Amino acid sequence: MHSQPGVAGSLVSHLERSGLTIFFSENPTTDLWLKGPLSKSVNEFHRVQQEIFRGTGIIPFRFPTILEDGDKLRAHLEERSGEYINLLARFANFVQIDITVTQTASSPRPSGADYLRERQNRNRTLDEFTTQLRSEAGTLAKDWRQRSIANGLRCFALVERKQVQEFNERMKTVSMPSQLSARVSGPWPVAEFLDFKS
Amino acid sequence: MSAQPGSMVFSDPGADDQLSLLDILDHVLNQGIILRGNLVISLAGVDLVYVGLDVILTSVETALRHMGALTEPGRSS
Repeated sequence: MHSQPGVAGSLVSHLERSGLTIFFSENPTTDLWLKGPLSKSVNEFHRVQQEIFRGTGIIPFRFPTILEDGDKLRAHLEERSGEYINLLARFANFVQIDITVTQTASSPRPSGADYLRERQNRNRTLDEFTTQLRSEAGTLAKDWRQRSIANGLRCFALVERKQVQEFNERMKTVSMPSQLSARVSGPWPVAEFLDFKS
Repeated sequence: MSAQPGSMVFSDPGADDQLSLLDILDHVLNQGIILRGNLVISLAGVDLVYVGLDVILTSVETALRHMGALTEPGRSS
């Protein structure tokens, strides 16, 4: 199921508990995290996740998640395994596609009124475009969430793993306004759709 | 790095390019389970998981260095 080393070449072990398999590295000191730049460690962490995610649905932990010892890990699984199992079953065949829509920089306006008018127009364009994206996704997006970011909007679509290519093809058919740019990335684990009780 | 105005680009998490790295950083640091209570990711008293990506990029490394100096030999990390 998993073959490559973890962060900084650490051995990735797995623990089966209450019907779940959890992957982790056990290290005696924090030196592991200091060996390279953070971006390198993050990339290595990601590669392990991706290898597992390619074959099955996963619930990712954020990087770095550091526990004191194995007992803490086992205790956590005892407490939350039911919830994790339900989520894994529910999202077993799904992945997440991210769409980041960004507004391009506007040119300076002579007056405040002009600025506000342009801003209003730009926001309307953004809303119309994301509505069009969602509409084009249609039933391929089983769920859709979005939130504002500094200069645009970030959308998350829940898509069946086998329909990712079809979903991307549909996104390509949406015409892009010149004031916007969009970046579609995925498939990712369905982290944005995991609604935990606590 | 972002797409040109009026364009849509596609990024694959498995690809080895700068665009993907930005996405990977965002996902690995910003999404996924946050352990709570005693299991909260806490290094040297700094709660790392409730701050934004930009802060994390700085504070994780700083906190890890700080923690490295404080950690007793034999303690799991």
